[in-house]
Amino acid sequence: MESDSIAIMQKTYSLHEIMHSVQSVLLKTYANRQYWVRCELSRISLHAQSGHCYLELIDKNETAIVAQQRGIIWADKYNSISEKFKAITNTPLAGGMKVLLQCSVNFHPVHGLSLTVSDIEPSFTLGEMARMKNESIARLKSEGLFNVNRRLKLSLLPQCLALVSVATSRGYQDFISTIANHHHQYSINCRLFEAVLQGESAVPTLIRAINKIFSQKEKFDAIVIIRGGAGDAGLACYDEYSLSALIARSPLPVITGIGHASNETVVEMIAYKNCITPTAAATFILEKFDAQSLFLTEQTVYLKDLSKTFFSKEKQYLSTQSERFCLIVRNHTDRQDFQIKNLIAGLPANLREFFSLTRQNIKQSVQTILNVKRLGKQSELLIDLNRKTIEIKQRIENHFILNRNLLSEQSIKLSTVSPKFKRNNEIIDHLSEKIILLDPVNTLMRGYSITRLNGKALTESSDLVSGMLLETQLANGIVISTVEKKK
Amino acid sequence: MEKKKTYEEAYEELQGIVKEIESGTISVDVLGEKVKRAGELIRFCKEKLFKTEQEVNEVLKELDK
Repeated sequence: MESDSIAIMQKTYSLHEIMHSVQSVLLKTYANRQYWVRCELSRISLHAQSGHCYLELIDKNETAIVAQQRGIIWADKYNSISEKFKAITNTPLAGGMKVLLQCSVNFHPVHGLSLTVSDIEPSFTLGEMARMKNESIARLKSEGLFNVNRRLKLSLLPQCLALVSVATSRGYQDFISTIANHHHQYSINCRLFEAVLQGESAVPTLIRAINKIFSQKEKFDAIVIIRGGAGDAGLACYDEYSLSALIARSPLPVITGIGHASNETVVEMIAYKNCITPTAAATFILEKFDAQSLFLTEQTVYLKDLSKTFFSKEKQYLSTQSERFCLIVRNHTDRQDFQIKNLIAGLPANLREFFSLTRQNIKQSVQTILNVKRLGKQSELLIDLNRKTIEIKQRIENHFILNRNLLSEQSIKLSTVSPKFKRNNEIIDHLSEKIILLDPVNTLMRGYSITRLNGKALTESSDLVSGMLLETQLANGIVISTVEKKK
Repeated sequence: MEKKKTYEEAYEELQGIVKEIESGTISVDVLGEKVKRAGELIRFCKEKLFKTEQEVNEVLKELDK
């Protein structure tokens, strides 16, 4: 076969030979040289037995992975590298991190190409984390998501809480026991949605848990993310854009209790309420209940006071009205009484007595009614009485009309015996006595006489001439005489 | 009290009644009604606020399982 023969005729190499050749070429360029390499740690796994740490390193641009390579940290270097990294970044080496590694390029005919890590520059990762955090913030702001969750309204009584935590974690226990040990047994219902709260699996499990809550959001008043007792390590996940954006868009207010002492993470910045610790988050919820409990107690007292004031004002008003009412009633009844009194005066004696008695009864009834405290009852009684009074007036008037003549006669009689008339008689008697005393007969009796000329009494002599006839009246009889001489 | 009333609704109604009484424009007859209603609302809210004994017992039962 021709093809076979060609192959046999050409020079052939063993795999080892060719790989060895590659190794020697690479060695020429890379042997004993160290490079600082920027890359992303896409996966990291520590081999428990050997203590070697195997890495998957990648380089990405916006759309794709542009380089990928295995790396290794030998057991003798691993401890010092990981300690150094953790001391500065406060977090262990984990997948997803941007790292700056000091590497040598090695090639082994069996194991192939690998980067052997001899050192790490943690400040590069710190810078990358800060950059990522700033990018998340900037993006959330530009998309208008930064303040969205904070603007939601938390229900007055957040009774149903979706907790995102781990059942066995300190933070979860702290949260639950703070609520359970509160002096008031408030009706707070918590449901746990488990998620990893730090490190590389945090973002996907948190997103899964939160989406699960969203699918039954009508059951809950708020989401509470609780993490505690794990120090400050592995918090970079809370700066991650996808998680932050999901939380920002949450239809439920998100309360965070991610216990740590370092700077606020992006999730905490955008959360409805950030509490420093799980205990503080529980206290925040309890305070809402305390506030309502206080409000209800205050309202009870306030309502009592309000009603009291209301009724005392009402009483005051009623008593003023009652006084006014009494005055009006008295005026009215007095007027009526006066009319009745006048009517009675015009009645014959036998009827007068009967109606006077009735009038007294009415007067007494009015007094009794005015003493009644209840205004409603009073007016009822008064209306009734008024009706009776009018009836009586009517009866008297009817009687009066029927016996008009008799009554007028009677009234004349009545007027003669009235005290005023009596007094008039006395004056007349006295005057007649005086008049009697002045009668000239009485003077004549004492020897005086009256001389008249032509019927007129003379009081002076100047008009008289001799020969005139004079007439002189004595007490008994008259004398006619002639004038002879004047003196 | 309607069964489906939420705490928030009861709270709003209570506030409304208090404001109405404060305004002093309601009559004595209505006041009686309003105070009675306010009492009901406060009782309802308190029931919502606190765990009933039954609820607590149920939780304790759950823990025993």
